[in-house]
Amino acid sequence: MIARERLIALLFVLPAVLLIGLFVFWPTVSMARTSLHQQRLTDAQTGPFCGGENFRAVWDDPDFRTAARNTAYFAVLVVPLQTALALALAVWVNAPGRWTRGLRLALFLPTTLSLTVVAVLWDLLYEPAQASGSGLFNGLLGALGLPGQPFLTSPAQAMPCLAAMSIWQGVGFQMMILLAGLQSVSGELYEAAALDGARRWGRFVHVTLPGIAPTLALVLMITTIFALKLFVQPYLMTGGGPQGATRSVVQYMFEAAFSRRDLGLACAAGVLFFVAVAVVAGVQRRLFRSAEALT
Amino acid sequence: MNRGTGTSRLRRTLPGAVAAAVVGLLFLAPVLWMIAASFKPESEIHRDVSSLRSFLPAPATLDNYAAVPQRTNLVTVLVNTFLVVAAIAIGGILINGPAAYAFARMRFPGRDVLFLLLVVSIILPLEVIVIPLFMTVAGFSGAVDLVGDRLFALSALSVPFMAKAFNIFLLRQYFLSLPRSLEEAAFLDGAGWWRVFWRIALPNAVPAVVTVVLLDFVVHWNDFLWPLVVCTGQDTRTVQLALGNFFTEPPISWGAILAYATLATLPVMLVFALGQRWIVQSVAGTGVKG
Repeated sequence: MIARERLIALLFVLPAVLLIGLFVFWPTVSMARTSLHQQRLTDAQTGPFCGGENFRAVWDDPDFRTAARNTAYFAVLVVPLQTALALALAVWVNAPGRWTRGLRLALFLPTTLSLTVVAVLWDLLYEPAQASGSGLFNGLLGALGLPGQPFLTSPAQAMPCLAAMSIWQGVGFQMMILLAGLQSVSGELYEAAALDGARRWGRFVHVTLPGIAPTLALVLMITTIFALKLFVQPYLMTGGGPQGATRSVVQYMFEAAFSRRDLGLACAAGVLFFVAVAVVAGVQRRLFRSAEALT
Repeated sequence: MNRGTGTSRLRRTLPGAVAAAVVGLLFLAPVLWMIAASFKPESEIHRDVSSLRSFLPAPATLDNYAAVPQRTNLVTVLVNTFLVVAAIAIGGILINGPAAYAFARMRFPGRDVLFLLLVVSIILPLEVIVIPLFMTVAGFSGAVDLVGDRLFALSALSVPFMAKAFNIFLLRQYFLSLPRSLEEAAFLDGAGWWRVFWRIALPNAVPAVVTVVLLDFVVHWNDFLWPLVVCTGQDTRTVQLALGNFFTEPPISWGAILAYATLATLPVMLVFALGQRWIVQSVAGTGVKG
Protein backbone atom coordinates (compact mmCIF):
# COMPACT_ATOMS: atom_id res chain seq x y z
CA MET A 1 0.00 0.00 0.00
CA ILE A 2 2.77 2.42 1.00
CA ALA A 3 4.82 1.44 -2.07
CA ARG A 4 1.79 2.11 -4.24
CA GLU A 5 1.25 5.53 -2.64
CA ARG A 6 4.88 6.41 -3.36
CA LEU A 7 4.56 5.40 -6.98
CA ILE A 8 1.36 7.38 -7.51
CA ALA A 9 2.84 10.40 -5.73
CA LEU A 10 5.84 10.33 -8.04
CA LEU A 11 3.53 10.21 -11.06
CA PHE A 12 1.62 13.20 -9.64
CA VAL A 13 4.72 15.38 -9.23
CA LEU A 14 6.74 14.12 -12.20
CA PRO A 15 5.32 16.37 -14.99
CA ALA A 16 5.72 19.51 -12.90
CA VAL A 17 9.21 18.59 -11.73
CA LEU A 18 10.38 17.73 -15.24
CA LEU A 19 9.03 20.97 -16.75
CA ILE A 20 10.35 23.23 -13.98
CA GLY A 21 13.65 21.39 -14.17
CA LEU A 22 13.84 21.93 -17.92
CA PHE A 23 12.63 25.54 -18.05
CA VAL A 24 13.91 27.01 -14.75
CA PHE A 25 16.77 24.96 -13.29
CA TRP A 26 18.43 23.86 -16.53
CA PRO A 27 18.56 27.42 -17.96
CA THR A 28 20.07 28.63 -14.68
CA VAL A 29 22.79 25.96 -14.83
CA SER A 30 23.40 26.48 -18.54
CA MET A 31 23.68 30.25 -17.96
CA ALA A 32 26.50 29.63 -15.48
CA ARG A 33 28.18 27.25 -17.94
CA THR A 34 27.84 29.56 -20.95
CA SER A 35 29.18 32.49 -18.93
CA LEU A 36 32.53 30.65 -18.75
CA HIS A 37 32.66 29.83 -22.48
CA GLN A 38 32.84 31.65 -25.78
CA GLN A 39 29.54 31.35 -27.63
CA ARG A 40 28.04 33.42 -30.43
CA LEU A 41 24.29 33.61 -31.07
CA THR A 42 24.75 31.72 -34.32
CA ASP A 43 26.81 28.88 -32.77
CA ALA A 44 24.94 25.62 -32.37
CA GLN A 45 27.46 24.40 -29.77
CA THR A 46 29.19 25.97 -26.81
CA GLY A 47 32.61 27.28 -27.82
CA PRO A 48 35.94 26.90 -25.98
CA PHE A 49 36.27 27.46 -22.24
CA CYS A 50 37.51 30.98 -21.53
CA GLY A 51 37.52 31.24 -17.74
CA GLY A 52 36.54 34.64 -16.37
CA GLU A 53 37.05 36.45 -19.68
CA ASN A 54 33.33 37.19 -20.20
CA PHE A 55 33.04 38.53 -16.67
CA ARG A 56 36.07 40.75 -17.18
CA ALA A 57 34.57 42.01 -20.45
CA VAL A 58 31.25 42.80 -18.74
CA TRP A 59 32.91 44.48 -15.81
CA ASP A 60 35.19 46.62 -18.00
CA ASP A 61 32.32 47.56 -20.32
CA PRO A 62 31.31 51.18 -19.62
CA ASP A 63 27.85 50.31 -21.02
CA PHE A 64 27.38 47.69 -18.32
CA ARG A 65 28.54 50.01 -15.57
CA THR A 66 26.10 52.66 -16.76
CA ALA A 67 23.32 50.05 -16.92
CA ALA A 68 24.08 48.78 -13.41
CA ARG A 69 24.21 52.32 -12.05
CA ASN A 70 20.93 53.24 -13.78
CA THR A 71 19.15 50.14 -12.48
CA ALA A 72 20.40 50.79 -8.93
CA TYR A 73 19.28 54.44 -9.22
CA PHE A 74 15.82 53.32 -10.35
CA ALA A 75 15.58 50.91 -7.38
CA VAL A 76 16.75 53.58 -4.93
CA LEU A 77 14.06 55.94 -6.23
CA VAL A 78 11.24 53.40 -6.40
CA VAL A 79 11.63 51.07 -3.41
CA PRO A 80 11.47 53.53 -0.45
CA LEU A 81 8.93 55.87 -2.06
CA GLN A 82 6.62 53.14 -3.28
CA THR A 83 6.74 51.17 -0.02
CA ALA A 84 6.11 54.26 2.13
CA LEU A 85 3.25 55.38 -0.12
CA ALA A 86 1.76 51.86 -0.16
CA LEU A 87 1.91 51.71 3.64
CA ALA A 88 0.27 55.13 4.05
CA LEU A 89 -2.48 54.19 1.58
CA ALA A 90 -3.01 50.78 3.22
CA VAL A 91 -3.45 52.40 6.64
CA TRP A 92 -5.87 54.89 5.07
CA VAL A 93 -8.05 52.37 3.22
CA ASN A 94 -8.01 50.04 6.25
CA ALA A 95 -10.37 52.49 7.98
CA PRO A 96 -14.02 51.41 8.05
CA GLY A 97 -16.41 53.20 5.73
CA ARG A 98 -18.05 52.79 2.37
CA TRP A 99 -15.71 55.01 0.41
CA THR A 100 -12.65 52.90 1.22
CA ARG A 101 -13.77 50.03 -1.00
CA GLY A 102 -14.04 52.29 -4.05
CA LEU A 103 -10.68 53.86 -3.25
CA ARG A 104 -9.04 50.42 -2.99
CA LEU A 105 -10.33 49.54 -6.46
CA ALA A 106 -9.15 52.85 -7.93
CA LEU A 107 -5.66 52.41 -6.47
CA PHE A 108 -5.46 48.79 -7.61
CA LEU A 109 -6.67 49.39 -11.17
CA PRO A 110 -3.33 50.57 -12.66
CA THR A 111 -1.69 47.28 -11.64
CA THR A 112 -3.95 45.45 -14.11
CA LEU A 113 -2.54 47.47 -17.02
CA SER A 114 0.33 45.89 -18.91
CA LEU A 115 3.74 47.59 -18.84
CA THR A 116 3.33 48.05 -22.59
CA VAL A 117 0.06 49.97 -22.23
CA VAL A 118 1.48 52.07 -19.38
CA ALA A 119 4.63 52.87 -21.35
CA VAL A 120 2.68 53.89 -24.46
CA LEU A 121 0.20 56.00 -22.48
CA TRP A 122 2.72 57.79 -20.27
CA ASP A 123 5.02 58.46 -23.20
CA LEU A 124 2.19 60.60 -24.56
CA LEU A 125 1.47 62.17 -21.16
CA TYR A 126 5.15 63.15 -20.76
CA GLU A 127 5.44 64.76 -24.23
CA PRO A 128 7.30 68.06 -24.14
CA ALA A 129 5.80 71.17 -25.73
CA GLN A 130 5.99 71.20 -29.53
CA ALA A 131 4.15 72.70 -32.47
CA SER A 132 1.23 70.24 -32.29
CA GLY A 133 0.73 70.85 -28.56
CA SER A 134 2.09 68.99 -25.55
CA GLY A 135 1.41 66.10 -23.21
CA LEU A 136 -1.04 66.27 -20.34
CA PHE A 137 1.61 66.89 -17.66
CA ASN A 138 3.09 69.88 -19.46
CA GLY A 139 -0.47 71.06 -20.05
CA LEU A 140 -1.06 70.86 -16.30
CA LEU A 141 2.18 72.76 -15.56
CA GLY A 142 1.08 75.41 -18.05
CA ALA A 143 -2.31 75.73 -16.38
CA LEU A 144 -0.55 76.28 -13.03
CA GLY A 145 1.68 78.93 -14.61
CA LEU A 146 4.83 76.79 -14.27
CA PRO A 147 7.49 76.39 -16.97
CA GLY A 148 7.27 73.34 -19.24
CA GLN A 149 9.63 70.42 -18.61
CA PRO A 150 11.54 68.19 -21.05
CA PHE A 151 10.74 65.03 -18.98
CA LEU A 152 11.84 61.94 -20.96
CA THR A 153 14.01 63.96 -23.34
CA SER A 154 16.31 65.13 -20.54
CA PRO A 155 19.04 62.79 -19.23
CA ALA A 156 18.51 64.11 -15.71
CA GLN A 157 14.71 63.83 -15.67
CA ALA A 158 14.15 60.63 -17.66
CA MET A 159 14.84 58.11 -14.89
CA PRO A 160 12.83 59.93 -12.19
CA CYS A 161 9.98 60.11 -14.74
CA LEU A 162 10.11 56.33 -15.26
CA ALA A 163 10.23 55.86 -11.47
CA ALA A 164 7.16 58.06 -10.91
CA MET A 165 5.25 56.13 -13.57
CA SER A 166 6.25 52.78 -12.09
CA ILE A 167 5.20 53.86 -8.60
CA TRP A 168 1.81 54.89 -9.95
CA GLN A 169 1.39 51.54 -11.59
CA GLY A 170 2.71 49.31 -8.82
CA VAL A 171 1.70 50.94 -5.53
CA GLY A 172 -1.79 49.38 -5.49
CA PHE A 173 -0.36 45.86 -5.48
CA GLN A 174 1.91 46.54 -2.50
CA MET A 175 -0.98 48.31 -0.76
CA MET A 176 -3.16 45.19 -1.07
CA ILE A 177 -0.49 42.92 0.47
CA LEU A 178 0.10 45.40 3.31
CA LEU A 179 -3.66 45.72 3.82
CA ALA A 180 -3.91 41.95 4.38
CA GLY A 181 -1.06 42.31 6.89
CA LEU A 182 -2.81 45.18 8.70
CA GLN A 183 -6.03 43.22 8.95
CA SER A 184 -4.27 40.35 10.67
CA VAL A 185 -2.99 42.60 13.50
CA SER A 186 -5.13 41.80 16.54
CA GLY A 187 -7.59 44.52 17.58
CA GLU A 188 -6.91 43.73 21.24
CA LEU A 189 -3.39 45.13 20.91
CA TYR A 190 -4.83 48.46 19.74
CA GLU A 191 -7.29 48.51 22.63
CA ALA A 192 -4.51 47.78 25.11
CA ALA A 193 -2.42 50.56 23.59
CA ALA A 194 -5.38 52.94 23.77
CA LEU A 195 -5.84 52.07 27.45
CA ASP A 196 -2.19 52.91 27.99
CA GLY A 197 -2.97 56.31 26.56
CA ALA A 198 -1.07 55.85 23.27
CA ARG A 199 -1.94 58.43 20.60
CA ARG A 200 -2.37 57.70 16.91
CA TRP A 201 1.31 57.96 16.05
CA GLY A 202 2.26 55.96 19.14
CA ARG A 203 -0.16 53.17 18.18
CA PHE A 204 1.27 53.13 14.65
CA VAL A 205 4.87 52.88 15.86
CA HIS A 206 4.32 50.43 18.75
CA VAL A 207 1.47 48.24 17.49
CA THR A 208 1.05 48.53 13.71
CA LEU A 209 4.68 48.50 12.61
CA PRO A 210 5.79 45.49 14.70
CA GLY A 211 2.57 43.70 13.72
CA ILE A 212 3.17 44.03 9.99
CA ALA A 213 6.97 43.83 10.07
CA PRO A 214 7.11 40.40 8.32
CA THR A 215 4.70 41.61 5.62
CA LEU A 216 6.72 44.79 5.21
CA ALA A 217 9.92 42.77 4.77
CA LEU A 218 8.20 40.66 2.08
CA VAL A 219 6.93 43.77 0.29
CA LEU A 220 10.39 45.34 0.38
CA MET A 221 11.89 42.26 -1.27
CA ILE A 222 9.22 41.97 -3.96
CA THR A 223 9.50 45.68 -4.76
CA THR A 224 13.30 45.56 -4.95
CA ILE A 225 13.33 42.55 -7.30
CA PHE A 226 10.61 44.16 -9.44
CA ALA A 227 12.73 47.31 -9.67
CA LEU A 228 15.86 45.37 -10.68
CA LYS A 229 13.88 43.77 -13.56
CA LEU A 230 13.42 47.20 -15.21
CA PHE A 231 13.24 46.75 -18.98
CA VAL A 232 9.96 47.34 -20.85
CA GLN A 233 9.51 50.99 -19.85
CA PRO A 234 12.90 52.30 -21.04
CA TYR A 235 12.99 49.86 -23.98
CA LEU A 236 9.77 51.32 -25.40
CA MET A 237 9.84 54.92 -24.15
CA THR A 238 13.46 56.04 -24.37
CA GLY A 239 15.31 53.15 -26.00
CA GLY A 240 17.71 53.42 -23.05
CA GLY A 241 18.45 57.07 -23.71
CA PRO A 242 18.78 59.99 -23.70
CA GLN A 243 22.55 59.47 -23.68
CA GLY A 244 22.20 56.04 -22.04
CA ALA A 245 20.56 57.56 -18.96
CA THR A 246 17.87 54.87 -18.75
CA ARG A 247 19.62 51.78 -20.17
CA SER A 248 18.98 48.94 -17.67
CA VAL A 249 20.80 45.70 -16.88
CA VAL A 250 18.12 43.58 -18.59
CA GLN A 251 18.40 45.74 -21.71
CA TYR A 252 22.18 45.27 -21.62
CA MET A 253 21.69 41.48 -21.49
CA PHE A 254 19.14 41.64 -24.30
CA GLU A 255 21.45 43.70 -26.52
CA ALA A 256 24.50 41.59 -25.67
CA ALA A 257 22.61 38.50 -26.87
CA PHE A 258 20.68 39.84 -29.86
CA SER A 259 22.56 42.93 -31.11
CA ARG A 260 26.14 42.00 -30.28
CA ARG A 261 25.24 38.30 -30.67
CA ASP A 262 27.51 37.32 -27.78
CA LEU A 263 25.76 34.73 -25.59
CA GLY A 264 28.80 34.33 -23.32
CA LEU A 265 28.73 38.04 -22.52
CA ALA A 266 24.94 38.05 -22.02
CA CYS A 267 25.14 35.03 -19.67
CA ALA A 268 27.97 36.59 -17.65
CA ALA A 269 25.78 39.67 -17.13
CA GLY A 270 22.93 37.29 -16.27
CA VAL A 271 25.01 35.57 -13.60
CA LEU A 272 25.80 38.95 -12.00
CA PHE A 273 22.08 39.80 -12.11
CA PHE A 274 21.32 36.41 -10.51
CA VAL A 275 23.76 37.18 -7.68
CA ALA A 276 22.10 40.56 -7.10
CA VAL A 277 18.65 38.93 -6.81
CA ALA A 278 20.04 36.25 -4.47
CA VAL A 279 21.60 38.93 -2.25
CA VAL A 280 18.30 40.82 -2.06
CA ALA A 281 16.47 37.60 -1.15
CA GLY A 282 19.12 36.73 1.46
CA VAL A 283 18.93 40.17 3.06
CA GLN A 284 15.14 39.87 3.10
CA ARG A 285 15.40 36.54 4.95
CA ARG A 286 17.56 38.20 7.58
CA LEU A 287 15.09 41.09 7.84
CA PHE A 288 12.21 38.64 8.03
CA ARG A 289 13.83 36.74 10.89
CA SER A 290 14.57 39.85 12.92
CA ALA A 291 11.05 41.10 12.13
CA GLU A 292 9.57 37.86 13.47
CA ALA A 293 11.73 38.20 16.58
CA LEU A 294 10.16 41.62 17.12
CA THR A 295 6.60 40.30 17.32
CA MET B 1 -19.86 52.69 19.92
CA ASN B 2 -21.41 56.12 20.01
CA ARG B 3 -22.78 56.63 16.49
CA GLY B 4 -24.22 60.09 17.00
CA THR B 5 -27.00 61.67 14.97
CA GLY B 6 -27.24 61.65 11.18
CA THR B 7 -25.80 65.10 10.52
CA SER B 8 -22.84 64.80 12.87
CA ARG B 9 -22.00 61.42 11.37
CA LEU B 10 -22.08 62.93 7.92
CA ARG B 11 -19.89 65.79 9.10
CA ARG B 12 -17.39 63.26 10.44
CA THR B 13 -17.25 61.01 7.38
CA LEU B 14 -17.57 63.65 4.65
CA PRO B 15 -13.96 64.94 4.67
CA GLY B 16 -12.68 61.36 4.40
CA ALA B 17 -15.05 60.59 1.55
CA VAL B 18 -14.09 63.75 -0.34
CA ALA B 19 -10.37 63.07 0.13
CA ALA B 20 -10.88 59.48 -1.07
CA ALA B 21 -12.78 60.66 -4.15
CA VAL B 22 -10.07 63.21 -5.02
CA VAL B 23 -7.18 60.75 -4.60
CA GLY B 24 -9.08 57.99 -6.42
CA LEU B 25 -9.85 60.26 -9.38
CA LEU B 26 -6.24 61.52 -9.55
CA PHE B 27 -5.08 57.90 -9.69
CA LEU B 28 -7.58 57.00 -12.38
CA ALA B 29 -6.95 60.19 -14.40
CA PRO B 30 -4.36 58.73 -16.81
CA VAL B 31 -6.63 55.74 -17.58
CA LEU B 32 -9.72 57.94 -17.96
CA TRP B 33 -7.78 60.25 -20.27
CA MET B 34 -6.61 57.28 -22.35
CA ILE B 35 -10.17 56.06 -22.85
CA ALA B 36 -11.43 59.59 -23.66
CA ALA B 37 -8.58 60.27 -26.09
CA SER B 38 -9.14 56.97 -27.88
CA PHE B 39 -12.49 58.41 -29.08
CA LYS B 40 -11.00 61.72 -30.27
CA PRO B 41 -10.00 62.61 -33.82
CA GLU B 42 -6.18 62.55 -34.17
CA SER B 43 -5.93 66.36 -34.40
CA GLU B 44 -7.81 66.84 -31.09
CA ILE B 45 -5.61 64.59 -28.91
CA HIS B 46 -3.03 67.29 -28.19
CA ARG B 47 -5.63 70.06 -27.94
CA ASP B 48 -6.78 71.60 -24.64
CA VAL B 49 -4.30 69.62 -22.54
CA SER B 50 -4.24 72.38 -19.96
CA SER B 51 -7.94 72.16 -19.19
CA LEU B 52 -10.41 69.56 -17.95
CA ARG B 53 -12.01 69.55 -21.40
CA SER B 54 -9.15 67.28 -22.38
CA PHE B 55 -10.97 64.48 -20.53
CA LEU B 56 -14.10 64.82 -22.68
CA PRO B 57 -14.16 63.17 -26.09
CA ALA B 58 -16.06 65.89 -27.92
CA PRO B 59 -16.39 65.58 -30.87
CA ALA B 60 -16.34 61.78 -30.43
CA THR B 61 -15.47 59.37 -33.21
CA LEU B 62 -14.97 55.62 -33.65
CA ASP B 63 -12.38 56.14 -36.42
CA ASN B 64 -9.49 55.09 -34.16
CA TYR B 65 -11.12 51.77 -33.36
CA ALA B 66 -11.87 51.22 -37.03
CA ALA B 67 -8.22 51.94 -37.87
CA VAL B 68 -6.83 49.28 -35.51
CA PRO B 69 -7.57 46.23 -37.70
CA GLN B 70 -6.13 48.09 -40.72
CA ARG B 71 -2.83 48.74 -38.96
CA THR B 72 -2.33 45.28 -37.51
CA ASN B 73 -3.53 41.71 -38.04
CA LEU B 74 -5.73 42.12 -34.98
CA VAL B 75 -7.68 38.86 -35.25
CA THR B 76 -4.54 36.71 -35.61
CA VAL B 77 -2.91 38.53 -32.72
CA LEU B 78 -5.94 38.06 -30.45
CA VAL B 79 -6.31 34.39 -31.39
CA ASN B 80 -2.59 33.81 -30.70
CA THR B 81 -2.78 35.43 -27.28
CA PHE B 82 -5.96 33.59 -26.27
CA LEU B 83 -4.47 30.27 -27.38
CA VAL B 84 -1.25 30.88 -25.44
CA VAL B 85 -3.01 32.03 -22.28
CA ALA B 86 -5.56 29.19 -22.42
CA ALA B 87 -2.83 26.59 -22.95
CA ILE B 88 -0.87 27.93 -19.96
CA ALA B 89 -3.96 28.00 -17.73
CA ILE B 90 -5.34 24.56 -18.69
CA GLY B 91 -1.94 22.87 -18.87
CA GLY B 92 -1.13 24.56 -15.57
CA ILE B 93 -4.09 22.98 -13.76
CA LEU B 94 -3.35 19.52 -15.24
CA ILE B 95 0.31 19.71 -14.23
CA ASN B 96 0.38 21.84 -11.05
CA GLY B 97 -2.85 20.47 -9.54
CA PRO B 98 -1.72 16.85 -9.04
CA ALA B 99 1.75 17.99 -7.95
CA ALA B 100 0.30 20.35 -5.34
CA TYR B 101 -2.02 17.61 -4.09
CA ALA B 102 0.84 15.12 -3.76
CA PHE B 103 2.91 17.69 -1.79
CA ALA B 104 -0.09 18.36 0.49
CA ARG B 105 -1.36 14.85 1.17
CA MET B 106 0.97 12.07 0.06
CA ARG B 107 4.20 10.66 1.45
CA PHE B 108 7.10 9.93 -0.87
CA PRO B 109 10.89 10.00 -0.68
CA GLY B 110 12.50 13.40 -1.29
CA ARG B 111 9.23 15.29 -0.85
CA ASP B 112 10.51 18.00 1.49
CA VAL B 113 13.73 18.63 -0.43
CA LEU B 114 11.85 18.86 -3.71
CA PHE B 115 9.31 21.24 -2.24
CA LEU B 116 12.05 23.46 -0.78
CA LEU B 117 13.73 23.65 -4.20
CA LEU B 118 10.42 24.69 -5.78
CA VAL B 119 9.80 27.39 -3.18
CA VAL B 120 13.30 28.80 -3.65
CA SER B 121 12.76 29.01 -7.42
CA ILE B 122 9.65 31.21 -6.94
CA ILE B 123 11.91 34.17 -6.30
CA LEU B 124 13.82 33.84 -9.59
CA PRO B 125 12.36 36.31 -12.12
CA LEU B 126 12.06 35.39 -15.81
CA GLU B 127 14.29 38.38 -16.65
CA VAL B 128 17.31 36.74 -14.98
CA ILE B 129 17.15 33.57 -17.08
CA VAL B 130 15.54 34.97 -20.23
CA ILE B 131 18.66 34.51 -22.41
CA PRO B 132 19.47 30.88 -21.37
CA LEU B 133 15.73 30.05 -21.54
CA PHE B 134 15.80 31.32 -25.12
CA MET B 135 18.81 29.03 -25.74
CA THR B 136 16.93 26.07 -24.21
CA VAL B 137 13.87 26.68 -26.38
CA ALA B 138 16.05 27.22 -29.45
CA GLY B 139 17.49 23.77 -28.76
CA PHE B 140 14.10 22.36 -29.72
CA SER B 141 13.96 24.26 -33.01
CA GLY B 142 14.43 21.01 -34.92
CA ALA B 143 10.75 20.46 -34.17
CA VAL B 144 9.84 23.35 -36.51
CA ASP B 145 10.01 21.01 -39.50
CA LEU B 146 7.61 18.71 -37.71
CA VAL B 147 4.94 21.12 -36.47
CA GLY B 148 5.43 24.28 -38.54
CA ASP B 149 6.52 27.79 -37.54
CA ARG B 150 3.28 28.99 -35.99
CA LEU B 151 2.63 25.99 -33.76
CA PHE B 152 6.28 25.99 -32.68
CA ALA B 153 6.12 29.68 -31.75
CA LEU B 154 2.86 29.26 -29.84
CA SER B 155 4.35 26.28 -27.96
CA ALA B 156 7.49 28.27 -27.18
CA LEU B 157 5.22 31.00 -25.75
CA SER B 158 3.20 28.62 -23.56
CA VAL B 159 4.91 25.34 -22.62
CA PRO B 160 7.74 26.87 -20.52
CA PHE B 161 5.16 28.56 -18.25
CA MET B 162 2.70 25.72 -17.63
CA ALA B 163 4.48 24.26 -14.60
CA LYS B 164 4.88 27.05 -12.05
CA ALA B 165 6.30 26.77 -8.55
CA PHE B 166 4.20 29.62 -7.19
CA ASN B 167 0.96 28.00 -8.39
CA ILE B 168 1.96 24.66 -6.86
CA PHE B 169 2.66 26.49 -3.60
CA LEU B 170 -0.70 28.31 -3.62
CA LEU B 171 -2.71 25.18 -4.49
CA ARG B 172 -0.85 23.11 -1.89
CA GLN B 173 -1.61 25.63 0.85
CA TYR B 174 -5.28 25.47 -0.09
CA PHE B 175 -5.35 21.65 -0.15
CA LEU B 176 -3.75 21.64 3.31
CA SER B 177 -6.54 23.88 4.61
CA LEU B 178 -9.29 21.46 3.47
CA PRO B 179 -10.68 19.01 6.07
CA ARG B 180 -9.41 15.47 5.48
CA SER B 181 -12.75 13.86 6.34
CA LEU B 182 -14.23 14.19 2.82
CA GLU B 183 -11.26 12.49 1.21
CA GLU B 184 -11.19 9.77 3.88
CA ALA B 185 -14.85 8.96 3.24
CA ALA B 186 -14.08 8.56 -0.47
CA PHE B 187 -11.13 6.25 0.29
CA LEU B 188 -13.42 4.09 2.45
CA ASP B 189 -15.76 3.85 -0.55
CA GLY B 190 -12.85 2.33 -2.45
CA ALA B 191 -11.77 5.36 -4.52
CA GLY B 192 -8.08 5.65 -5.49
CA TRP B 193 -5.81 8.72 -5.25
CA TRP B 194 -6.49 9.87 -8.80
CA ARG B 195 -10.24 9.72 -8.31
CA VAL B 196 -10.12 11.42 -4.92
CA PHE B 197 -7.99 14.21 -6.38
CA TRP B 198 -10.32 14.91 -9.34
CA ARG B 199 -13.66 14.26 -7.67
CA ILE B 200 -13.13 15.53 -4.12
CA ALA B 201 -10.01 17.67 -3.65
CA LEU B 202 -9.98 19.77 -6.83
CA PRO B 203 -13.72 20.66 -6.81
CA ASN B 204 -13.31 21.79 -3.20
CA ALA B 205 -10.36 24.01 -4.10
CA VAL B 206 -12.23 26.12 -6.68
CA PRO B 207 -11.23 29.51 -5.20
CA ALA B 208 -7.54 28.59 -5.39
CA VAL B 209 -7.93 27.11 -8.89
CA VAL B 210 -9.70 30.24 -10.13
CA THR B 211 -7.04 32.46 -8.55
CA VAL B 212 -4.23 30.56 -10.24
CA VAL B 213 -5.99 30.68 -13.62
CA LEU B 214 -6.68 34.43 -13.29
CA LEU B 215 -3.10 35.23 -12.28
CA ASP B 216 -1.78 33.19 -15.22
CA PHE B 217 -4.18 34.98 -17.54
CA VAL B 218 -3.13 38.46 -16.39
CA VAL B 219 0.61 37.76 -16.29
CA HIS B 220 0.81 36.17 -19.73
CA TRP B 221 -1.74 38.39 -21.44
CA ASN B 222 0.37 41.34 -20.29
CA ASP B 223 3.81 39.86 -20.98
CA PHE B 224 6.05 41.70 -23.43
CA LEU B 225 9.62 40.47 -22.88
CA TRP B 226 9.21 36.77 -23.70
CA PRO B 227 7.14 37.35 -26.89
CA LEU B 228 9.76 39.93 -27.90
CA VAL B 229 12.46 37.26 -27.55
CA VAL B 230 10.73 34.31 -29.26
CA CYS B 231 8.31 35.82 -31.82
CA THR B 232 9.96 36.55 -35.13
CA GLY B 233 7.04 36.46 -37.57
CA GLN B 234 4.08 38.82 -38.00
CA ASP B 235 1.59 35.96 -37.58
CA THR B 236 2.93 34.72 -34.24
CA ARG B 237 2.81 38.03 -32.37
CA THR B 238 0.84 38.49 -29.14
CA VAL B 239 -1.28 41.47 -28.11
CA GLN B 240 1.43 43.34 -26.17
CA LEU B 241 4.10 42.75 -28.80
CA ALA B 242 1.81 44.05 -31.54
CA LEU B 243 1.07 47.11 -29.40
CA GLY B 244 4.80 47.68 -28.94
CA ASN B 245 5.38 47.43 -32.71
CA PHE B 246 2.42 49.70 -33.33
CA PHE B 247 4.05 52.28 -31.07
CA THR B 248 7.58 52.11 -32.50
CA GLU B 249 6.90 51.70 -36.22
CA PRO B 250 6.01 54.85 -38.14
CA PRO B 251 3.63 56.37 -39.08
CA ILE B 252 2.63 57.03 -35.47
CA SER B 253 -1.10 57.57 -35.11
CA TRP B 254 -1.87 58.23 -31.45
CA GLY B 255 -5.61 57.75 -31.75
CA ALA B 256 -5.26 54.21 -33.05
CA ILE B 257 -2.53 53.40 -30.52
CA LEU B 258 -4.72 54.53 -27.63
CA ALA B 259 -7.71 52.64 -29.05
CA TYR B 260 -5.58 49.50 -29.26
CA ALA B 261 -4.21 50.03 -25.73
CA THR B 262 -7.78 50.36 -24.44
CA LEU B 263 -8.84 47.18 -26.25
CA ALA B 264 -5.78 45.30 -24.91
CA THR B 265 -6.69 46.31 -21.34
CA LEU B 266 -10.41 45.41 -21.39
CA PRO B 267 -10.06 41.59 -21.03
CA VAL B 268 -7.80 41.95 -17.98
CA MET B 269 -10.13 44.40 -16.24
CA LEU B 270 -13.05 42.09 -17.00
CA VAL B 271 -11.19 39.12 -15.56
CA PHE B 272 -10.38 41.05 -12.38
CA ALA B 273 -13.94 42.29 -12.00
CA LEU B 274 -15.27 38.73 -12.31
CA GLY B 275 -12.59 37.08 -10.18
CA GLN B 276 -12.07 39.52 -7.31
CA ARG B 277 -14.26 37.56 -4.86
CA TRP B 278 -12.41 34.28 -5.54
CA ILE B 279 -8.97 35.82 -5.18
CA VAL B 280 -9.76 37.29 -1.77
CA GLN B 281 -11.27 33.97 -0.62
CA SER B 282 -8.30 31.90 -1.71
CA VAL B 283 -5.71 34.26 -0.26
CA ALA B 284 -7.60 34.11 3.04
CA GLY B 285 -7.72 30.32 2.75
CA THR B 286 -4.03 29.81 2.15
CA GLY B 287 -2.89 31.95 5.03
CA VAL B 288 -0.52 33.73 2.64
CA LYS B 289 -1.59 36.97 4.30
CA GLY B 290 0.24 38.46 7.24
